[in-house]
Amino acid sequence: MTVPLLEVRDLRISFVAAHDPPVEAVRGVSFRVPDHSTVALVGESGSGKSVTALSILRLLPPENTRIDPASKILWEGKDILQGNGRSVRALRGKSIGTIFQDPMSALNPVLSIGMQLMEPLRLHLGLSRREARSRAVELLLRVGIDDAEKRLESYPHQLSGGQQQRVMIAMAISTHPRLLIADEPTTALDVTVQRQIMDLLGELQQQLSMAILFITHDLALVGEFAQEIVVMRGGEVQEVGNCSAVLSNPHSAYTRALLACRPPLEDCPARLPMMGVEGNLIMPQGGQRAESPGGPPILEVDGVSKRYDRPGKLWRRNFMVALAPVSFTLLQGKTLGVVGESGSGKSTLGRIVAGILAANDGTLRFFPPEGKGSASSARRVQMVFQNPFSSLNPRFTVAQILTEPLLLHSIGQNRGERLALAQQWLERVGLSAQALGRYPHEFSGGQRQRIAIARCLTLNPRILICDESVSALDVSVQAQILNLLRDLQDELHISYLFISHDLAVVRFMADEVLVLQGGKVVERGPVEQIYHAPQHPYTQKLLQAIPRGVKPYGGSLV
Amino acid sequence: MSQPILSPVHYSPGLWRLAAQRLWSDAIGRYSFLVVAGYLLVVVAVLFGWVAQDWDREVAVNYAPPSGWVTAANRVVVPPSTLVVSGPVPLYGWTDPLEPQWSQAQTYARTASREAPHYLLTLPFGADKWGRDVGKKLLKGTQTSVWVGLVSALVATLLGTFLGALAGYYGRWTDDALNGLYGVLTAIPYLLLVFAVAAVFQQKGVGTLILILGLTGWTGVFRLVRAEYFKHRSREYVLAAGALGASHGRRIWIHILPNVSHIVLVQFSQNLVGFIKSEVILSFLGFGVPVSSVSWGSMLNEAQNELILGKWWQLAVTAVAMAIFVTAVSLLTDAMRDALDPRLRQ
Repeated sequence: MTVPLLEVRDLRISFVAAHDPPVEAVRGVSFRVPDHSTVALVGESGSGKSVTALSILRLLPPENTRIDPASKILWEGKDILQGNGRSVRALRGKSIGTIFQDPMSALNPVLSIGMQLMEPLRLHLGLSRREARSRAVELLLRVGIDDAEKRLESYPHQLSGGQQQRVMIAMAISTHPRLLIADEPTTALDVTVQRQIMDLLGELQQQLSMAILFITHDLALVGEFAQEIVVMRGGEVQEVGNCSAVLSNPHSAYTRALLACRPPLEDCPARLPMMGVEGNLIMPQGGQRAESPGGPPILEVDGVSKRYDRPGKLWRRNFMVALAPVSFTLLQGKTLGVVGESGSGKSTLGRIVAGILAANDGTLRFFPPEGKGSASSARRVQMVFQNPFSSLNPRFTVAQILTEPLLLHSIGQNRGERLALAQQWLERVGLSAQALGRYPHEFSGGQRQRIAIARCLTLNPRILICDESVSALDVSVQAQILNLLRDLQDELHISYLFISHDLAVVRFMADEVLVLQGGKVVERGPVEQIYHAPQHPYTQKLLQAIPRGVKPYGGSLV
Repeated sequence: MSQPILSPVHYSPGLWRLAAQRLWSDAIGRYSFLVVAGYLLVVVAVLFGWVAQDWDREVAVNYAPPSGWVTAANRVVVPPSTLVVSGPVPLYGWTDPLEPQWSQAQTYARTASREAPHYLLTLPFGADKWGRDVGKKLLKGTQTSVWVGLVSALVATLLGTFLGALAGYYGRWTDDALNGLYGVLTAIPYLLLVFAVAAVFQQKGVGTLILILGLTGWTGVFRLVRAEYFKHRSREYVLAAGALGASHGRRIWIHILPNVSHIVLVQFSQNLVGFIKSEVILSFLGFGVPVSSVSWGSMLNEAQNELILGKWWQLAVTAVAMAIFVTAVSLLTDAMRDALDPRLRQ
């Protein structure tokens, strides 16, 4: 048998902190990357996939990481871990190229694209300035950037996210590497851009015949792109094998659960399957979602728009339209999904409805109208934010977080009563009363999002705005939160304004969908119609861009 | 609504308790904290009049040298006669304007002469030009200097935090206006500014010193706190507080302040060191405490003349006391910064 390009053998990495016992992040991981192939390293956060990738490049900080001496990372049979600094540097950049998740932070903001592209060429290939320049132009053309000559003088902030990632790819392939490590290369990008980048990577792999180690959490993307798959969880390999075989017939319970948790695009179940503590699958009760007529209208949005002033020349006002006039009606107990790519104005819309942002024109009408005896709009509309790590005050205990809204609206006579209410809501979202005494950093992302939901619920809102509320969560946690939101809607008849870039999630949650592009509504309609018979070309394009590498399961799940 | 029974909730240790634990587990932090606490104890003791109330009494011969133990053998008795002037002074028909004071001084001199004062020949820390105990002077001086430093650092930190929070949170014209003020204050050379303010107040004293230092020293705190508020005001937890109906004031002081308070604390202790040094410089230059009081600065000021005469002890004692305190506070600041760094958490 031939020697594989890269082989990781029994890799063990632990993190060492000053006072705490060491934490083992990677526990005996082994896999191989053959020449010219694409291997996907898949797992949720904390699975050790990125740590593994960084250790291949020896980029882990040596002061707080310990790699077990028995671990081996073999590059064509030679151990990288044993090599000295110079040999590793020669490998990095020359034989192994890397693309990171966030191109904006991976590119140096004060150097032009050309400077950054030419540096590795001159360093590793020893080209002269002029040669390097012409190679740089060639590379930019190759990754699909037009007007390459001019672009060399641009700075990273002058490019869009997709273009930045193209530049990163150009940089990574500039020295004809034999292995490209792509760490979540499209996670920060829109669906349509993700599609373009993945197509580009596939093409380049063919042309340059390099191997790709592709690190991601997105199984659907892997299914379209990779040949081999390594599924990781908690620092251990769960399953290794041929990609299509693993995805169509997974052996490990964890892989099976991971595949099932993702909301399907084809139909709409009442609840999503969830993953248990052991990584096992818990099937939901109830089949398809029942159609219900929906209650009376609870909010009418009429011609709401928003524009921002741009600093222009003196006397000449310059506007950036964030949201063209939008009108819709939200029914009680129903969900309106808002989809669109970044810059489509969907968050602006959410913030206007939440009252955080003032609209330039248009009106919001709440039913029954605001007046004596009825709750103020702040109490009726609440918002669950995207990032549960930043939406909870890190210096407040959960008790403070949950009693703050009660205090502000003088609900409850005294502290004891408010705490009792807080505890009730906490238990309703699935956390124990013990959580009251803790700080947000002691909880996982999913638990924090539950706390954020409980905080909104304390005010008995009629409308909950979820702005990308599950986008920052792992697939398995996403399913739990989505089911929770569904339960709450059935029980409390809350209406949701559900904003997301993730079409599958919106498919599961929404009854009606608004498609936004560049601040304008391009299409609206019932969820079935939008997903099965999209009319507008933009909606069609969005739907086509969704990775569909995973076939939906039949009954083989249980 | 039925009221559920509240189960006893265990509260996790908060930021401050964790930081205190971390500070205590760090050797440098622990020792510097103990040293600073010792100094603060001295300040409290002198403030409440437990020690060193008689620091300005003449207890020894002038420039009594330092030596180990004071025994009966090294006392000297001063003959009383030298103090009394006898006979009237001819005034050529004028009434003496100093007559009342003069006769009072005469009476004092006579009563004093009955119990002849005895002066010490040596003291543990020596004596100054007027025979005052340098040890007691040091205690009193420590109290003055540290007290001035503490209070003015408090004034500066409160002012800087208040203005910085407003500028950073509201932005726009509030920020522009306060930044203008900041710019003007920082554009003037520091000592020149301090002298200018001192000249405006026209009187010497501890209160004036505190005002001078507090009103000129808030700029550093302002800059940092403003930057922090700028960063925090658009964080999602602040937006969430707004969406829940919290007023601007509540967002500024209840929600954001605990998240920047560690920076404020570190700035406070940095200012403390800076202001103690400023007080010393001002007193040394004669703008500081009045003659009726004593501080590290005024002691060092006296010491420069003494040094020419070879009387080194006042200088040595003051310099050592000041160096230990300033070093301890600086080390404590560093240790606090480490202990409070939120990046160490999680």
